[in-house]
Amino acid sequence: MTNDLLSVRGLRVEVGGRRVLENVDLRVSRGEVVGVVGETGSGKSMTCRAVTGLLGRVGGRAVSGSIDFDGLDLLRLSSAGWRSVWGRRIALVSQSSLSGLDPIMRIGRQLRETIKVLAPDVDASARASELLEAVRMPQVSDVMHAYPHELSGGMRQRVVIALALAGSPDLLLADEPTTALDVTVQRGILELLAELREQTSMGLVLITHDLQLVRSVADRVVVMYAGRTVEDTASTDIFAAPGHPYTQALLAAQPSNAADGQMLYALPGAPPSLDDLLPGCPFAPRCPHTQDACKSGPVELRGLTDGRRLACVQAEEVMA
Amino acid sequence: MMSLTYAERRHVRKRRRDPELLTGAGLLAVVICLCLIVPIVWTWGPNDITGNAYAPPSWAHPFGTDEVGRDVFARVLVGGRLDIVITVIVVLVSLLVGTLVGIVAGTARHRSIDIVLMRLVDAIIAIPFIVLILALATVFGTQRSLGPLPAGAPGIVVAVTLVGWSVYARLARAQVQTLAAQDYIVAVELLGLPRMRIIRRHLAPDVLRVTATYAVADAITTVVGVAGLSFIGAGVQAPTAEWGALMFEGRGVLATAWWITVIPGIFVAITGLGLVLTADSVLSYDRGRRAG
Repeated sequence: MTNDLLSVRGLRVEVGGRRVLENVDLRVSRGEVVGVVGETGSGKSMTCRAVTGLLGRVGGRAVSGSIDFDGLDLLRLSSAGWRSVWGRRIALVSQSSLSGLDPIMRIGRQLRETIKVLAPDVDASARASELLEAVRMPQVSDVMHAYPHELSGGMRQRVVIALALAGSPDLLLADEPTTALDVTVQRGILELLAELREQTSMGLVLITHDLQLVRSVADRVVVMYAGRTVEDTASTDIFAAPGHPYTQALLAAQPSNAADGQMLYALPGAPPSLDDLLPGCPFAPRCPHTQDACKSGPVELRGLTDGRRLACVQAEEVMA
Repeated sequence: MMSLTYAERRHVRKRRRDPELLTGAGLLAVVICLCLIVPIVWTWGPNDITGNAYAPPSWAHPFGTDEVGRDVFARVLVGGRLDIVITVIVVLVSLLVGTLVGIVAGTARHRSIDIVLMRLVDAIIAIPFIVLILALATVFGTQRSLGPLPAGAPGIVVAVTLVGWSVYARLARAQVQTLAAQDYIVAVELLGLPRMRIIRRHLAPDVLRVTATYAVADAITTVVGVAGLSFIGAGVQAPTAEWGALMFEGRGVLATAWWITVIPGIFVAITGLGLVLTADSVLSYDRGRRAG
């Protein structure tokens, strides 16, 4: 696993003494698209903050585990070290395209400002048009003179992606980049991200709660539950045969998987509260395969013969 | 000037059609033009004695004359000048000082600066403002004049400004805090943009947008407040013409010579209405822009 661009291992994060991440494991190679899927509160965004060094801003602290980014130990990086990483090597596209842009500054000026910081030597105006063209923006010269409120949500998100690309990062994290957008626009943004990855060979982490969304673009899918990584599997395999019981339940709950006239499947129960996590598998109370072994001790993520990694005591039996 | 994009042109057109803004700005424009221009060409000065006391409105004296025979039309317009000048000074100084203090408090590296400034603001806001302004105006002196400002006017300017900036400061600091949590501010911080540049280019214009919008609404309170202070004797002193002072002069003869009191009152009301309509329209425009 030495060719990983990003490697998060056994990460545990606490916010105000409460454990929000436990045993998070996330690996990304160059040019790879990894979809991180999980429901609200499963720790997707917190993982994102840990990787971008922004845990401190929400009062979080990494207690154990490691984050290795191309040989850099991100958990021990100094603030000067981060300065050379932010925007230049790791970039983040956040959820709301509205708060990502200054409402009172024209798009062109915002792009030029970022470009001047990240690459002082290039012609900022030319680079700005180039970036807007790279994100397939129509009418580039009009958009440059426009304020954010004059653009549609999808166009704004394209501008945010252009800003993230300004420093030619090696790793791009997109935290629910399409949540605020229309379904038809979502598809366009995802295709754009996948296309950019092909052109630039950067690693792309796509965080979403929508499993179907990552299907077409992700190479691998990482499933999170209750602040842990429960499955990490190639995306072709995971949709053909989901490994972890939670992943199986997620897929079964997809409306497209229901037969005509049938009630939609819904997983009984609710995700555990962070305050009363059991010692064993957090999914055990809702899992149809639960045995005593699931509840007794911590369940580690382990590799299976076909390259999947699952955090399930009975992975072999469940998948059979 | 950069050329307008299609979307911008549409925006400008939409603005022009807004009847609220049109009425509000129209009323204000009429009052301001009357007060600033007409006295230059009018036959009578505000303190000229015409020899005809308590004359009702006529062609010679459209607003009648007062108890010593001065032309009320001239007095109302010249008085309006003073009210406009005082309001503009008070609102502009409060706006600039308050915005600056709010930005300093919101962005100060040391928490103690923030705490000291904001507790000062709290202290000012905690005291009923009428009482505070009255006290300050009295302390500063109602007889003092300064340059073109007649006796009493500098006192109100200082008193109202000393109280008025506090609201702007609170608004500005709140806006700084809201903005600081926005992704784009976090992003430019992480990029390592110099602090002063972030404040100048990203924070200050946006904060000013909020406080300047409030300033239009604040001008309403200021116009009415200045007239009110003069009416109760704490502001501009006789014989200087000022709307509130004029109303005070005529109050005793309201039943027989109503024009001395009622007409300045109408001018205060029209100015207030013009400002209310303008403020309302500016506020809704600002909100629409924000929401995109």
